[in-house]
Amino acid sequence: MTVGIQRRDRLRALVYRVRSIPGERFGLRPYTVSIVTAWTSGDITGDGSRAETLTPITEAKSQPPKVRWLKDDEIATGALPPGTVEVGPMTPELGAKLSDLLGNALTTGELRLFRLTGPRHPGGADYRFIGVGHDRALRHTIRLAPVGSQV
Amino acid sequence: MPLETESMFERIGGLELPARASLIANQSLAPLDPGRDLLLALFKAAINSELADAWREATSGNSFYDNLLPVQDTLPCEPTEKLLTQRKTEFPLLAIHRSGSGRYEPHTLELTRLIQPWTLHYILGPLDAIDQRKLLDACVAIAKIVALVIRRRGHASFEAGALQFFSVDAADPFRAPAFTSLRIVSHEGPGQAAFGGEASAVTYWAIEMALETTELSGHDSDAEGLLDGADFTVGVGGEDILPAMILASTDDEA
Repeated sequence: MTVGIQRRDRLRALVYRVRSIPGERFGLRPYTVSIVTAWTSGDITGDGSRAETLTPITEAKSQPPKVRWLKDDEIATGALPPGTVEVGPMTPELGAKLSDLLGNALTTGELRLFRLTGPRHPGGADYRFIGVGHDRALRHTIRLAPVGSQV
Repeated sequence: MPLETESMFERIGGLELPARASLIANQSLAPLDPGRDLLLALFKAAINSELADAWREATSGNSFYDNLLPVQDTLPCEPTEKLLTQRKTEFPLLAIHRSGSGRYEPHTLELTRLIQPWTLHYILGPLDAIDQRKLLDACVAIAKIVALVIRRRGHASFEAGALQFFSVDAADPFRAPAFTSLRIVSHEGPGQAAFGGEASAVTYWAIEMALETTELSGHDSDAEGLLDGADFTVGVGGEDILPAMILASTDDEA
């Protein structure tokens, strides 16, 4: 392993722990975020009984990532759907895996959603994936738009 | 049971009332519109049957679309960005949905006719310059296959070639099928299609076909009670002078 890679990994471990502090010490991460993989038992998506698995997105000490609703000007300039949320920063490799965020392991017909639970959605609400930022060594972010029933 | 005593016992196209729970075998309301799934399954079977050999020859070992079928995935609804960012979808994709305005007209004094436009999408997916040459001609070929399948009312690869758009209920030969007519009106493309939002960065190649169906209403005569022992007399005026025009009696089984 090169010195650069070792340094990157040390920095990732550091920010992984640092990103748990706002939630753990100050209670500033009121939303939990989970990756929802949903499917139905029938041949066509939606036919048959529904099943799902939840994979929580966390930083160190099981603390959730930052969740931020984008401002109107960000939504307007980015041509984004109303209600778009940005989740992150998340630490690469140590937090949520990029392949899980992108849903690479899904089979045809399966759904990949993200469930936010917190003050605005006390019963949980599902969001759909609309983009990922993974061009930084120490952070991933994802953008989500509302979908489905607001439980 | 209110459903059995209060229902109209009528049908229009594939919708039959009452909609009993036993109809919903797959825990969705999709059986209320059975014709849609039938069309999608028929077209998929026919396209894959007719084109798979040529497709395999064109793509084998030298295309991003190697090991795929001409129709790899199907969608019984409009392929919107909102839906495709939730569902894992493979391309090429065949999707069908009711579109535009359905028109209701009197067919006879008793029957109602629904004339319904449909849109059938064939989305190849993103193509580089090489795959454009290799695959893009599939789009118009598929529109032509759809036209021919509609003309033949079926395809040998689907349910052993059974006719799909006529009544097949031997017990009730006058029962209206899901569609009493089906035609392909036009196709648009092939062309580039883009979804909204961030997904607009990817350009898909697609063809869109406009179909039109006709659905007729009908009623379930078995659901109606017998009218026993009734006499009908239709006169033309001048009682006791002019004879009645119509005299009728139902069977008296009492």
